Amino acid sequence: MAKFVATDITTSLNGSDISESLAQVELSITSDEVETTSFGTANAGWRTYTGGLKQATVTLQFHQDFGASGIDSTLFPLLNTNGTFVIVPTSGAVSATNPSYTFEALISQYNPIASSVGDLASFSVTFPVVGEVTRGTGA
Amino acid sequence: MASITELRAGLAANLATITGLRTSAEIPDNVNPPIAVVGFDRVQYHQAYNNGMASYEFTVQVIVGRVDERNAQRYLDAYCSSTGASSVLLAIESDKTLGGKAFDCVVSEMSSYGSAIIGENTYLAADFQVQVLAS
Repeated sequence: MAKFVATDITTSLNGSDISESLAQVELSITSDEVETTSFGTANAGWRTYTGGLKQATVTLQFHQDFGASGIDSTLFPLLNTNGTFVIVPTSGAVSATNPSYTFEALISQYNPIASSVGDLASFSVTFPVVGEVTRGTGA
Repeated sequence: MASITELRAGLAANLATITGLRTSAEIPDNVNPPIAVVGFDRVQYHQAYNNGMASYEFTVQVIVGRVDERNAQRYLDAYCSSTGASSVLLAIESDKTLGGKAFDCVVSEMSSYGSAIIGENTYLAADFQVQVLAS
């Protein structure tokens, strides 16, 4: 895969494809920066760090839909539970050049109504990832 | 997945609920007013991943005869009103799914109220901007 325009990012929640309800997806993975600066001249007056615990969050911008199988009926019952997410850059087969990111996240937030008059009904949520994010290559 | 032709037809069908207003889903060579003509402006693709939604923008031009200046304006005023049996806004949004072909549609504004020269004739016309969300 080369540089690409993001039109086909595929996201599933508990096995259901929710891609067509999404306008934006962001998976942010960070590690704690643990300072190891010590006295002495070894660091020439510069601070030093080592990696600590890792964590991730996922931010999703949805198009709201209150239909019978719309996104509202999917998300609301999951509030306060862990959902399994799989995010893949395209809808093609998972591979080394189209890796999947799989994780559980706590559905800790839901904003069913977040619209101005005349605008497309949408809402954005950010969920903390629970545990590890695994990167799959289909191997 | 709706086609643009189906969306045009849906808008024309909604407009036809206004008694006495002719409709055309495509731009005709000649007009016989009063008539609402559905024109297509642009589409914004990829409003959701996986081709889940696109935003279509139509211009509905409502044209009335100009034989009697005052009455022509009164007719057009009624079409431009947000209430009443002749309201283009209410007619278009009477079935916001356009016969099940769209997620939603909204009339965002009316503009260009004034004379319109079509062929060799001068009419009175107003343009309505309509946004349609469909897959």
